[in-house]
Amino acid sequence: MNPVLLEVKELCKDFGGLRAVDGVDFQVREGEIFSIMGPNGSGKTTIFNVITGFYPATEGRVFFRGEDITNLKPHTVARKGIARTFQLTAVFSRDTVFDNLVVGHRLRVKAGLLGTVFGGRQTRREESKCREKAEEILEFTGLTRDRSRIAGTLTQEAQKRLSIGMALATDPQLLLLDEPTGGVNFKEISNLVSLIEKIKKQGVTVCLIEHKMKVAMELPDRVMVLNYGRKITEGAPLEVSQDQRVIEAYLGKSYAA
Amino acid sequence: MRRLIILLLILLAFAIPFFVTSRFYLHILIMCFIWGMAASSMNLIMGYTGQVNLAHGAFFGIGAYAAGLLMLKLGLNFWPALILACIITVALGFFIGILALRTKGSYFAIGTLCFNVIVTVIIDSWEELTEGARGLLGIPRPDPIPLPFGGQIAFTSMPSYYYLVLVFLLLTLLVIYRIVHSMMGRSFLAIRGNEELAESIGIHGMRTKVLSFLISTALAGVAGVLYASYIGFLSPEISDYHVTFEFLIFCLIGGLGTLGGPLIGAFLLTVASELLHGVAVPRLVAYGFLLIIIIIFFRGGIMGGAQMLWLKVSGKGGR
Repeated sequence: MNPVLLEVKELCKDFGGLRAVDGVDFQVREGEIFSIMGPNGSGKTTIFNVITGFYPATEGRVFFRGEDITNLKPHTVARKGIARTFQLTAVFSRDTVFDNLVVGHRLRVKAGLLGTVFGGRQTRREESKCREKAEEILEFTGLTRDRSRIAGTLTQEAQKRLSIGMALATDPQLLLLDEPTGGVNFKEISNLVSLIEKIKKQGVTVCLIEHKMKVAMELPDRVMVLNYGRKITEGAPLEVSQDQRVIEAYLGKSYAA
Repeated sequence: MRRLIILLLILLAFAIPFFVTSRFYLHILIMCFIWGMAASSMNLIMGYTGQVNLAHGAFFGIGAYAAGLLMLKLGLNFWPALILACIITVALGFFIGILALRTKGSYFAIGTLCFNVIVTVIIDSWEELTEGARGLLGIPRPDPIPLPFGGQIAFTSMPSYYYLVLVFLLLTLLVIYRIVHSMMGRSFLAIRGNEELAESIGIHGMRTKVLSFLISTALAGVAGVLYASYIGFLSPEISDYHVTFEFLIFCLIGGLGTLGGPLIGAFLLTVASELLHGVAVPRLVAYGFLLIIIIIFFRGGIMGGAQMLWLKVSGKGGR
C-alpha cells in the first residue's frame, strides 16, 4: 500500500453549540482518489475548510506527510502542498484566464520590492517561470483557446476547469476538490471526470467531495461516508453503496431493507 | 499607439514651461501634479488592491508636516528631510496599517477614516511640536543640486519647481506601473478579486495588503513633502479627511485601478476648481453631483468609459 499523505485524527468542529464534525478519522494515501460523501450538512465542506486552515479545528489534528498542519493559515497550507477549490466556483472573474493561472504560481516564486521596482533580472526570471507554468496548465486543462477571455464570461464547466487549473498551478501534492461537477450539466461532466483522472495520472493525490452517483462510484478508489458530522463507513465505492447505513442516511429508514 | 501617446504627453509636459510663462498657469499645473501623485498613490491600495483607505490625506499631511518640521526645527536640508519624512510616514503607516487592515470592506474604510481624524486632531492640538492651528510658516524650497562640472540646479524659479514635481510624478507613475505589471501586482489584484481564493493559492493576504498600504503611504508622503516645500506653509487642514475625499474623487472620476485615471481626475478637477473660483456653486456640491453621475453611468470613471468606447469602436467587445 502507498504511504499515507494526509491523516486526519479525531477531528471535531463546533459552530456555537452545533457540532458540525464529530470525531472524524481518515487517511488519504499517495496517488489515490479519495472521496468524501454524505447528505447535505453532514460536514464535508467543513472538513475541507479545517484541513486548509479556513476554520480552526475545535479538537483533533491534521497531519500532512507526517507533519502537524492543524490550524495553520490557508496560505501556509497552500505552500505546504495542499491546493483546493471551492464549492461555489471561485475564479478572479475580472481577469483573463491566463492571468488567473499566472497568479496561481505566485507562491512558488519570490517578488521582492526592489527587484520589482528596478526590474531586476531575477524578478524577470521568476515571472517567466509563472508564465511557463500557466502555459502548461492551459494545455493540461484544455483552456488554450480561452486564454485571453475574461474568466467571468466562461461557462460554468470551463470555470470549474479553470479553478482546478489554478489549484494545480500551485504545484500541489494533494488536491482537494469541493464538488468539482456541481452546477455543471450532465453532458459536460465527462470532461471534468477525465480531467481528474489525468490529474491522478500526473501523480497528484485527489480528495474530492461528490454527490453525483456516476462520478462518486466510478472515479474514486476509496470512499468515506459522513452523516451528521460522523463517519459511518469507509471502503471501495461499490461496497459502500450497498451499506445499509449509507442507504439509510441518503434515502431514509424505510428504504433500508 | 499607446506608447506614442504617452511619449508625446511626457514631451509636452517637459515643453510646457517654454511657452507657458504665466505664473498662474504654472502654479495650477504644479498643483495638478502634486494632487495627481497623491491620488495615484491612493489608487495603488484602493484601485489595485481593493482596500478603500480613507486615511490617505493623513499620510499626505504627515509627510508634509514631517518634512516641514525637520527643515524648520532641525534645520535639515530638503533632500535628507524628504527621505526622513518618507520613513516617518511609512512608520506611522505601518502602525495604522497593521491595526486597520485586520478589518475588511466598509469596516476598513470606516476604521481608516477614524485614524485620519485622529491624525488631524493630534496635529492640531500638539502645539509645542506643530504650532497647532497657527500653522508652520516659511518652509524652504529644496536646496540646489550641485552639478559635477560646476553650476547647480536651483529650485527657486517656478519652471524649475515645475520640473522637479514633474520628475517626481513620473517616478511615482513608473513605480506604480512596475509594481502593477509584476508578480507583486498580480498578488495585489488577486486580493482585490477574492481574498479567500488568493489565500487558497498561497498568497499571504495580510502581508500583501500591508505591503501595498505601505508603498502607497510612502508615495503619499513624498507628494506631501513636495507640497510643503512648494507652498511653504502648512496648517492642520492639509491632513484633514476632506483632503482624503478629494483624492478619492480624483480616483473615482478618472477611473479606479487604471494608471492614468487618478491623474486625469486630479487634472480635470484641479483645473476646473481653479478656473471656476468666481462661480458661486459650492465646490463640494458640484463634486457630489459629478460623483452621482459617474457612479450611475460610468462605473469605471473616465478611463473605464474610454476603454469601453475603444472596445466598441475596435470591435473587440464581448465582455
